[in-house]
Amino acid sequence: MPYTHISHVPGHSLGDYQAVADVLGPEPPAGRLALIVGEADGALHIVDVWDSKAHADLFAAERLMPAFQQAGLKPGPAESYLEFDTSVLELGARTA
Amino acid sequence: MVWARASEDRGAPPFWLWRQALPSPEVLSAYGIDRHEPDQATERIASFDEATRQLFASAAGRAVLLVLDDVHWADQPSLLLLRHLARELREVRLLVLATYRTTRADTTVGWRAVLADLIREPLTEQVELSGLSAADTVRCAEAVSDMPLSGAAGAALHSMTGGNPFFVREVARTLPASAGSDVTVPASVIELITARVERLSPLTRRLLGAAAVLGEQFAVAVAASVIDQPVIACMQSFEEARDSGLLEATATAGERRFGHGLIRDAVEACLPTAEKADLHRMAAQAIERRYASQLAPRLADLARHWAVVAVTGERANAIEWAVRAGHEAVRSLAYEEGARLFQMALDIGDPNLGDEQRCRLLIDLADAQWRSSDLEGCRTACEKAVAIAQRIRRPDLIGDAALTVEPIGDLAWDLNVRRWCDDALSAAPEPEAAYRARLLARAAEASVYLGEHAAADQASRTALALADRSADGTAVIAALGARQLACSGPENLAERDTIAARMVEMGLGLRRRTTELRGRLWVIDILWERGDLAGIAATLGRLEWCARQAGGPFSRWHLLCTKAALAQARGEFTAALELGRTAFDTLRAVGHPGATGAYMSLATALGHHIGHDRTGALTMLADTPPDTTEVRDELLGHIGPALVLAESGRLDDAAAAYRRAGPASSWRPPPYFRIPAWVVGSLVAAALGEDDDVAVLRDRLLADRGRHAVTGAGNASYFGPVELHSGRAAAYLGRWDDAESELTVAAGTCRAIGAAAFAVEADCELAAVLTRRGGGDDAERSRQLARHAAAGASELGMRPWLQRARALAQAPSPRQPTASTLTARELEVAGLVAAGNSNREIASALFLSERTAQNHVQHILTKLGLANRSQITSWVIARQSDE
Repeated sequence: MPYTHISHVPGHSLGDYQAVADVLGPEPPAGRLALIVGEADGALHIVDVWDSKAHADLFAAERLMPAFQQAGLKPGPAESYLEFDTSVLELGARTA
Repeated sequence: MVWARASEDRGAPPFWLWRQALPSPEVLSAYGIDRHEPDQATERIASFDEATRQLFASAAGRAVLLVLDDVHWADQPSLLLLRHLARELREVRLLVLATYRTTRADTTVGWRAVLADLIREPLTEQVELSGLSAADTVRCAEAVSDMPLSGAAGAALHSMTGGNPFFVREVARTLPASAGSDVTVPASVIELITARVERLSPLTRRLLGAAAVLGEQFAVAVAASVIDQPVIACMQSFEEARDSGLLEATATAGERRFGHGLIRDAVEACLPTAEKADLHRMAAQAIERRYASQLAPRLADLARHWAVVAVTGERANAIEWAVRAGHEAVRSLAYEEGARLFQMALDIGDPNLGDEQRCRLLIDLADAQWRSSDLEGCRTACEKAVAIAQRIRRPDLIGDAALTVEPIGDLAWDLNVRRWCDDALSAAPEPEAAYRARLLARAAEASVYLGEHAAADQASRTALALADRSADGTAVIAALGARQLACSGPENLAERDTIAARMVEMGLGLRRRTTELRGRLWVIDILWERGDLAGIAATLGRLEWCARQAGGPFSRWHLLCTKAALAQARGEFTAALELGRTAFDTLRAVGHPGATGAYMSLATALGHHIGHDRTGALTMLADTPPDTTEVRDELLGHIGPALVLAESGRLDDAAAAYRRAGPASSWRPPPYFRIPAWVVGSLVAAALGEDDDVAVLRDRLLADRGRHAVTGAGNASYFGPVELHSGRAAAYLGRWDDAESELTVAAGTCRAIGAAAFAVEADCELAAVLTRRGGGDDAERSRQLARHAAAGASELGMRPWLQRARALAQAPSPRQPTASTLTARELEVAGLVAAGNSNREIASALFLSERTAQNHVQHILTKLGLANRSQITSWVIARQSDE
């Protein structure tokens, strides 16, 4: 069952996101089904949908953590986050 | 530079050190081995050899530094491979730097033993590491704290930390910016670290606790999973721990490690027992989830986690994982690790294990101990297993125990093995054919060593018939091995021809080169026993190919031993010595007792012809303590060195060694050692004047006339045709005509097969016989033979025999000693000697001291030119007939 993770990271901006994304490169990570990123109320909000929790953890451990370091950023304290098994997943054809 | 680090945890996979260091570490576990595969002992050596070659190849054309950190914590199989590597290091640009702690609490018995071996290696150099100097301590502290330190503060810091760089760094982190001269060291470094951890966020502290139970280096995803958090939620905590110097990144993506082992110790020490057990349970479950499809390298780690959980009374998981890890370790050739894990399962399960489970665990333990040459441990485990199996009436388990070990020539051990086989075979319902065949084969081998040859013959025949019926490859190979052993006496060559051919076929059919090689070596043994030196030379090409295909040092060693023995038999002494030494060096790294035994056998035969000072045998005898691990070779282990000592003129030492073997009439060598035992024994007995033994051994040799002095199982030297030795013994006993006829046959045989040095020896012995006999044209024939022998000895470089042949060639015409040569008292003593009296009895009869009687006997021998009491007897009898 797909796994969804939602993070709200105060103090980080879309610019920070882009700096990390540039290090990660355009290749989508294995197991990622959807990624939604937006900025509001001075925080970065990220919705990540994965094939499984293991895929999400592997990506964070092996790629995201080094990417933060390489981008010269420190992961902000996750003010709040939410994770759940995904019962319904529908994706449209268009990407932003 | 290659860096590998041993782990303090006992949860690392077997050969962990080398899994990090080797370019292709799968060589240490790629050998899919059947539990009853007979070639496992050599299999591990082959994998060690391959690992060493990999490292050497990586150092081809460039210098390589291999750092092995904290090697005192390495698992035992890793240490054995390190020892193997150290013994092989020659002319390779590879520097191995192993660091270890010297405090006894930090070392294992295994490491201390291997360290002692490593230090003995000539290339090993020890460098003692001490703390930083006072100046360096200050420099280090200033670099860490980024502030200057006063002289007094530096001195205090050095005094408090002893210059230990880790301690210096830890204290330096705490230095207040304004207190350059006020250094305060906490009561312990642990306390200091604990204080640092307490300043971290709650999530980071939980994460560090989870990491501490996982190990010094751990997977980030697993650590997060242990505290039931997604990794992304822990990223900031990992950063926090890194910023405070507690964790650091590693070269492996997705992993972190503690900044120092002590940091991990401190974090773990702060965990309450119940919480620690919970964390270990969650760690085990996280690992099972995370690596569900690739658990093999993590089995020992899982066993470690569940073992901690077991303190709460939850033992089943700990036992299950320890057993799985134990089997994996044995499969990976890490036998010592396997034994440790099976013992751990037994310890955890005690006293709640069921009888059957305990029995099976003991058999697994015995199996791992047998493979790691821990014979005493193996014996104990087997006996316990069998006692349980008997109590619960499970003959199948008794059979499994019997098949775990092999007979070794120790009476009690071999009797046990055979009794266990018999018990298992008498079970109802009857075990399946292949299993019965293996049990019968094992029983047959035990019977051979127990000297019960009829039983061995019958059991091995039945085993082979059953194995053939079952068409089970393992059973057939076991049965062929048993039949070969039961037939290893020289009278069974025809049957062994068939057995050897079948073994070669099995090897070819199963594509097992080691099995094929075993069969081909049996073929060569048979050729030796037939004295077919040309046949051996003709098969060397195929043997060489087969040894290359089989790979590993044992295969090379077998090939070199065969070539060395062939050269020795043909009188090519320089080549024989060189090949023999190369063979010895090939197995030197392994430390296998077979290497010494085979070389000593070759050196003894070579020294017999060229002088023992030229073979290194005397030095080896002085340097090598007697090997007591292979009791099957015990007899030759005594009389072989006795021959070297006797022929080197050290008669007292020779006599001491010879007497340890007991009287010759009590010798019961295995069938394949029979003729060499009689031959070597007769040579020593003659040199020591042991008349009775010479007579006994001559009789035994006569039963083997037409054969050759070689072993029927892995021959490493040639000692000539049997007639050479029976003839020499006849000469010793004064039976001149028998001696002449047997030595003549021997000389002819040696010439026919191309054993040039033995032809020289036979000619010399025959010349001596003719000189002594002194009849008709004996003197002239003797001189001709001696001149011929001298030419041969000179050509071949047989220094001792050249001297003897020259002396015989120049000897004046022998004259028959007459009675007038002796005094009346000596005639009287000679008569008493001929009547079979000992010196004590003669002394008593003539009212002399025993010493005086002994002097009279010595004078008689000297005056008559005789060698021993038997010849005095012959002389007296001949004189009485003349009169």
